[in-house]
Amino acid sequence: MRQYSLSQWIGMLCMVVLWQNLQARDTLPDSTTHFKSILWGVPKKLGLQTISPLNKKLGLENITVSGTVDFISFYRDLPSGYTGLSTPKKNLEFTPYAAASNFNGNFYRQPLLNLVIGGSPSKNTSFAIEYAMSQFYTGHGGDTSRKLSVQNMLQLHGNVFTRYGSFQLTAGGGALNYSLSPLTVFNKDFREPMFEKLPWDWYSKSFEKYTDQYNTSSTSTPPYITNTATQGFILEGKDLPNKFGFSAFYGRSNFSLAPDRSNLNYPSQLLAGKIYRGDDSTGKIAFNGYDQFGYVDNVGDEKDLKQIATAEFKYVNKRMRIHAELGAGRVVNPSSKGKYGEAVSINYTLYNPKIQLPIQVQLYSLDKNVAAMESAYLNANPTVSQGGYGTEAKYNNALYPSYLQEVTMLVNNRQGGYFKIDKILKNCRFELGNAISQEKENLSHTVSFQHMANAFSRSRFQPWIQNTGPYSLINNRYRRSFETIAVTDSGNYRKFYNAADFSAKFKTKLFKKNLIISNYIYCGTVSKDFSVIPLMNSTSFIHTIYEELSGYYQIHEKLTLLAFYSLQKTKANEATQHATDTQKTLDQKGTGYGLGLDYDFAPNAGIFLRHRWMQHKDKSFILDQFKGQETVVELKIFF
Amino acid sequence: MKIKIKITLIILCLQMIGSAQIISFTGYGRARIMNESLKGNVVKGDTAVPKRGTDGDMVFDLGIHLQPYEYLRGKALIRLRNKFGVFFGQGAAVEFRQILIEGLISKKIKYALGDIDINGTPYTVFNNSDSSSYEAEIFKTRRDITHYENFNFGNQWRVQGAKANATMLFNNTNSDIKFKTFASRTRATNYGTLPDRFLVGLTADANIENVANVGLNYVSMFEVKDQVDTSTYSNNVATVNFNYTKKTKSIDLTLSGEAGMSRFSRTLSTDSSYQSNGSFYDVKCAVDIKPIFSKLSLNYKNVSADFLSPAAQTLRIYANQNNSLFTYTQNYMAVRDQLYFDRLTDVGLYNQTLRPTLMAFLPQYSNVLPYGAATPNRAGFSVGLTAGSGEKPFDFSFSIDKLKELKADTLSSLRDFTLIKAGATLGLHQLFKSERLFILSGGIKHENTQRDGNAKIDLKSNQIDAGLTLETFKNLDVLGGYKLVLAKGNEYTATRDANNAITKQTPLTVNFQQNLWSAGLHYRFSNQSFLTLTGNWVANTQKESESTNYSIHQYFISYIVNF
Repeated sequence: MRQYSLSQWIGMLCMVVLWQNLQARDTLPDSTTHFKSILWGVPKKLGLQTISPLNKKLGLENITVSGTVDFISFYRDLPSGYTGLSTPKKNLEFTPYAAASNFNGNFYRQPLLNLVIGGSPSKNTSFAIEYAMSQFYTGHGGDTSRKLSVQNMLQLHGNVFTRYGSFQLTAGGGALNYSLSPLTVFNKDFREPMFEKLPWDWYSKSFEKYTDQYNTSSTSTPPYITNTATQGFILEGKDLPNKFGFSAFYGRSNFSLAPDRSNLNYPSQLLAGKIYRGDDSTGKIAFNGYDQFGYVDNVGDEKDLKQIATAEFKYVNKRMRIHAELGAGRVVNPSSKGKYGEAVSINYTLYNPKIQLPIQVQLYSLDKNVAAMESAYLNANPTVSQGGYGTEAKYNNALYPSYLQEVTMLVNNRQGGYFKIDKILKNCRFELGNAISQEKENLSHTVSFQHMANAFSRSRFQPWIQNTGPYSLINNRYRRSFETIAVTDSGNYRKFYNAADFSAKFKTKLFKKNLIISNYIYCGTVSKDFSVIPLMNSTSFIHTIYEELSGYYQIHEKLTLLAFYSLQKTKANEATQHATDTQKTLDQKGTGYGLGLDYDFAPNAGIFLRHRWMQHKDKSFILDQFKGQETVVELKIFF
Repeated sequence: MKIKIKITLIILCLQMIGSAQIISFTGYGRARIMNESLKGNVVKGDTAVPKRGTDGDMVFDLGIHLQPYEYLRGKALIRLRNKFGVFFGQGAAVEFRQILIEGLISKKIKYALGDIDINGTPYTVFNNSDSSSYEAEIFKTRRDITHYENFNFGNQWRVQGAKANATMLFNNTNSDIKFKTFASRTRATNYGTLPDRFLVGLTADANIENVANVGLNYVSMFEVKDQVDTSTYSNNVATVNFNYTKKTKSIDLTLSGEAGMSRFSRTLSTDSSYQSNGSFYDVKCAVDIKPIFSKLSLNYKNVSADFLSPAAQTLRIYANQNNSLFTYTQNYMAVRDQLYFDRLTDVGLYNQTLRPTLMAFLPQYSNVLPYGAATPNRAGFSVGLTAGSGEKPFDFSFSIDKLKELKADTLSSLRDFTLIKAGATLGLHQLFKSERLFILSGGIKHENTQRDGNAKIDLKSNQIDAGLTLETFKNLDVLGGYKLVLAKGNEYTATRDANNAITKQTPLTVNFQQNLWSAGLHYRFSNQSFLTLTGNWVANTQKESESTNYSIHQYFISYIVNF
């Protein structure tokens, strides 16, 4: 009680002091007179102050909103079943990949509704973000049926324009597209059949896609291929004095670290950049650096490094295009001591306007220690893993041991080259390619090849998982599937890889409607001995041939019918692993037939239907067989 | 369900674009990466605990402001977050950070509902700052992130509830009375053992001809009685504050103060109850000598040991929370203590909830006034002197607090406290009339706690700040900062029960030195967007236990866009 009295007393004292202070003045300013009148007089009128309307403007008033609606559903009926199939034999999904094997729907690249919002808070800054909204139609009332997330866009930009050049900073996540050079940071260029609907298709008029693919030369690389997904900071400088420019990246790529390791804050960073002078047409010289540095874990001192430095030269004129890249790289991890290896890539395209026959020649030599997973080449170095050193093998989607590659694909631990010829006649286009390469070192007593027939469908049997299937030989990756078999011949061969392909495309009119027919043949071998072309016989460890025929008929401006046929035959010789039950070597055949329909029901909207009958049978590995059908429906709307 | 609400909200808000209703957007985007390592004796031979790490995130908070009428406005702040290095949705999350409805009733009363910010006087509702006045700019850039993440905007607390304010005018005068009120739920019932807990407040602040102010403040934190069959709690605080300024051409004389009382009550289900009453008064006289830009102040305060004001005494930082960075040492046998660097940068150490009783604190960082001005059980004088201003090249401040406990704790006699703070900022660019910033700053804080008797206490701590901001090219600043924290001596840390009574005193002995060096670059793309690159080197030296010494190195990069 005493304390109450004290505090009250103090309060009163303060008021008295105030009053006395005022009284002590002989002449009081006007304001103090008012003060007195308020304290001891009665004001004439009291009232609540009127508050002006709430401020209307807060931040930005204008933002841009765009996006896509992308409904995808596929139904698969595989009566035969297949070992490792992650779903029932009959399965309906509302995502491109089965939700059950899709990290509970987290790893999902085509949301039902993708809202992209952008704006410029100031003349020097801008942002672009994305709300990716997925619906899995699980029937559950809770959040398990839906996901709100970020896939690609969480980007912040800052620009500076000076008399010394212009600079742009891009920071953020989702997936920043970044590219340096084919031997450092780039992307892989796997072939996609024209029949397949691609997630990144942007066409509002469906037939334009097939026209574009008809027109696209195999000697050029589409821009969307040249980028890799990154998160972090990109700083670019252009138009610097003396035609200098630079680009620098700090962060991680989607290959750097596995999600569980990222969540544990494993030390891993990617620092990459280039300094260049000139431009493509006048001759551009660039120096590229790539440094993926970190440690095997967050406890010990064992490093996990991949470093590459290259010099690059580009020149383009009407008759030729040269792109050369030379450098060195090394890999440091508990299984690799950091020895430097060479990186050489020379690409030359000659074009004679008179005969109109572009010829592209590529020569390369890539040591196993040149191993950037973000690059244009495939990695054959088993000590290098997606997600960091020591990633569990079944999750390592970036290892291609002794891989029989596509014609234009480069692989490290190889030296070789390819040529491509592209000839356009009036209504047809022919492309021919042939690749030869040899291992620089026998790193693996295996050979592997791609299942081109039904590749996308097969990749969904057990997505992202390696060493699956009835004999644990199948490796499933994004949109494609591979098989790796052992070489039983104990000789230390530096294997030769031959691949050739021939593409013929015809464009014509049928009943006055556009018709495009495409035929593609690929054959490849892995063998002990050198050969100029693939030798499709038993001298090769493995030989495979793939035939693909498809037709695209625009029966109406808005309606296109599609038909597709594919066949792949693969055989291995006696120097490869034998099936335990039949004691025979791999001898398989895969076929796929398909029909499709594209209907553009509105200027920015279309429905796409694909149905496929597929079959696979290995005469030796008799459990490796399946037969079934798959239907895919996609509704895509751009806004 | 949450996602459904989020999606619906986003779509609804976006649908408003182009309609007659006004919609505008604010945003806060940030990308940051930290790369750090732990070295030193404490991890020598350790084969288990993490010693390195790379962390980061990318966030974007989009504030959608929808104003369908002139007198109604809604705000939703939705966060997109992407954990650094995790791609394609796996590391992404969408969070609701704030929903706020603001409006006017009859154009007279302004109200707000949802996630609101409240503040009052230092003895009623006050979120006490955790930084020093002369902290280097390079540290502020890190602290701004920590504060933003924890809604520490000034001295406000972020709570969930409603608030309103109105101003009553006295016509024909320059006088008015401002009324402010708020009500919030600070804890929801669990329908079994915990009742709802609320915080309500009312303030009437009379402005008399812009010369004097008198305010009445009332804040109550209480639990709903009989809601569940356990204890209920209430704490009421009532204060009066005043401020009178006498202005002349050369001198402003200000007399200000606040006095009040608190009543704590806790009723148990067994019909027993506990009550305690506390009071305080705080009077300050200040003289502002305009010609020399100097201000001298004298303050006396008396805060009783039982004065309890949760909304003014709740701490921003948990004392017992584990650091996110390098949590463990010595093969997981020891938890790493909070360093000043952790308290500066670790978002996870911060508390966002108002606590009904006094929280634990770390005496080595603040022992004289750990709960701010409202720290209970303190009485004494403080003298302050400031010189200069932000517009002048030089500003300086000095203060000394000489305080004493009013009531002994369970162990011994009364503690004596001395707190000395001094600091200065030197704007060399102003001195030399340069357009490019060149600022030096420095500060010191010294604390001394003494107690005689059976449980003797002798604790001294010092914190020294030094900072540099040097604009080299246009908008490109070189930043430097140094912080030294020294503490030596002993204290007792108190454990309190639900009645706020001390139940246990744990001896604490410290003898350490923390050195934090930071250097970096700061580029301003605009007033509210900037790129920061810093290197931070922290050394923690335990002078009597060398085996626990360590250092932390951290490289930090961030880009922030704020609009």
